[in-house]
Order: sequence, then structure tokens, then C-alpha cells
Amino acid sequence: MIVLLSAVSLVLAIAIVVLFAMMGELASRIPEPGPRRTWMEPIKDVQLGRIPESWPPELAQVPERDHSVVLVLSTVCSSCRAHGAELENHTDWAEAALVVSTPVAANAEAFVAEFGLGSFPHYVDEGGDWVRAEFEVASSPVALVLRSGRLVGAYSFSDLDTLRSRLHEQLDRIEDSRADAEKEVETV
Amino acid sequence: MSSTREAHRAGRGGKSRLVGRRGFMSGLGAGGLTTAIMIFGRTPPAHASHCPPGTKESGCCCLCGGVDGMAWLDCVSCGTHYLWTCQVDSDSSCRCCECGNSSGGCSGVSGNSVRCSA
Repeated sequence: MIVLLSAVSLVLAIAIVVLFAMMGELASRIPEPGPRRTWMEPIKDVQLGRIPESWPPELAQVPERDHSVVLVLSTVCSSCRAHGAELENHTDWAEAALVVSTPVAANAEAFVAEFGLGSFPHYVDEGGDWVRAEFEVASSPVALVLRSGRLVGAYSFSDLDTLRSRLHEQLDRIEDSRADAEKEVETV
Repeated sequence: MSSTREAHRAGRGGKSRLVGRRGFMSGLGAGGLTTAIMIFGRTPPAHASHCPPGTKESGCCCLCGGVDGMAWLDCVSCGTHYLWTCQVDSDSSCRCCECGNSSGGCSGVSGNSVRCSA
């Protein structure tokens, strides 16, 4: 009887050890938080070269600028809230404007107020109807890159620092190639 | 008398052997459990949600909490619904559907649904 009890206890102990081993194995498969991967990827199925038929009054200055970046955020997108907070560190970004897509305008207004985004030109796009109709974009976060109101690029991105630095590199490359082309013309 | 004493001594010896066995087995079990807990029992780090109060994070969507999840087809067929895609990372995204929001916050929301793809 005693031997039986001892054997049962031993089996139970082994079973519990195995159970914890399985839990540990599962836990080890969850990736440890490490350096965050940064990325910026072009959006597919967007019509580059497009000029919107109309601009909301809040974004009237965008087509007048040589270079603009319109950030498309949404109130239902969790990472967009992180980008909203990031924008506090980018108040010097003169080219930036915002479109906040939302199911209800009041939610977007609360979003703008919460993150202090009033200093950026911004448009509350109820239902996401405007950005979907004009740019075929229904996702966030997205950065629309425009030259004099013409869409020249659309990207999803991990963070604003990465987005801004890579767009800056692109702009430098474009201006360098433009300068080279002008030199060639002068030479000819 | 001597046989009684001998029997008594045998009995005491038997009891001490029994106690020793029990103690050994208990120690073995407790030691195994403790070792297993120390080596394998790790709690994964908590994930901080970006979603505002009153909503819960599902994939990368902030959905109104306290509202029953809906079947995806029901949500996208809902009369007043909001459909949007959020990027989890460069390779995966989720489609967020919210049905019935009419006045702000989560008031009027009758259901929501999420569909994520890698």
C-alpha cells in the first residue's frame, strides 16, 4: 500500500515536471523582445502619378507644395496611436500633413486632441471615404508622398524616424540626379 | 520477553524504514517540482496595448470592448460599418471591421470582427 502510494507520488511528480517542461518549451518559442525591426515598404495597388480630383479645405496647402507627405492614420489602428505619439517629436516636419480615417468624426477629433496633432494640417476622413476614393488607400499606417499634389510614392512603415530618414535619402537621390542631368544639358 | 523485545525492536525498525521511505519520496517530489519551476516556469513579458480605454487590441485593431464579436461576413454586411486594414509589420496585416458606430467612442457599436493574414 505504502509502496503503491510512493509510486503514485513519484509518477505525479514526474508528470508535473514534464508539464512544466512543456510550458517552458512553449515559453521559449515566444521571441524575446530585442531590437525592433524597422521597415518601410511600398504599398501595392496604388495609382502612382495620380492627382486627386479634390482636396479638402484642411489640406488645401498640400497640392501647392513641392514636396508633401500625407500620413494616413486610423483610430482603429493600434500602431497609429504610437505614431500619433511619435509625431510630438516631429513638429518640425514642415512637409507633413495628416489624414485620420475613422468610423466617426468624434473619435478622430479625440485622437488629434489626445496626441496634440493640431499643429499639423489634418483632415478627419469619416469612413476613410476620401483617401479611399482619391488614392485607393484603405490601410494604415501609410505615407503618401506627393510632388506638387501628384502622388509619387505610397509606403507603409514601422516608425516615423525610419520613414523620414528614408524619404530624405530618396529626395537627395532625386535632386542629385536632377543636378547631374542639368549639368549634362549645360555641357551639351 | 526477549522475543517481545525483539518483535518491538523489529516493529520500530520497520516504522523508521517506512518514515525514511516517505521522507525520501516527499523530498524527491518536492525537489523535482522546485527544480522544474525554477528552470522552466517563465512568464512571457507582458505586452503593452496601444489601444485606448474601452477598447481591446486584437491583432493590430483597437475594437470596442464589451461588444460581442461578430462573424466577419456579418460585420461587412452590416448596414453601417467601418472597414480598415492595419499593418502589423511588413509581412502581415489585419482587417478591422466595426459595425454600427454612430455617435462617437463605442456608443452604438453592435459588433466587430478582425481578420488577420500573414
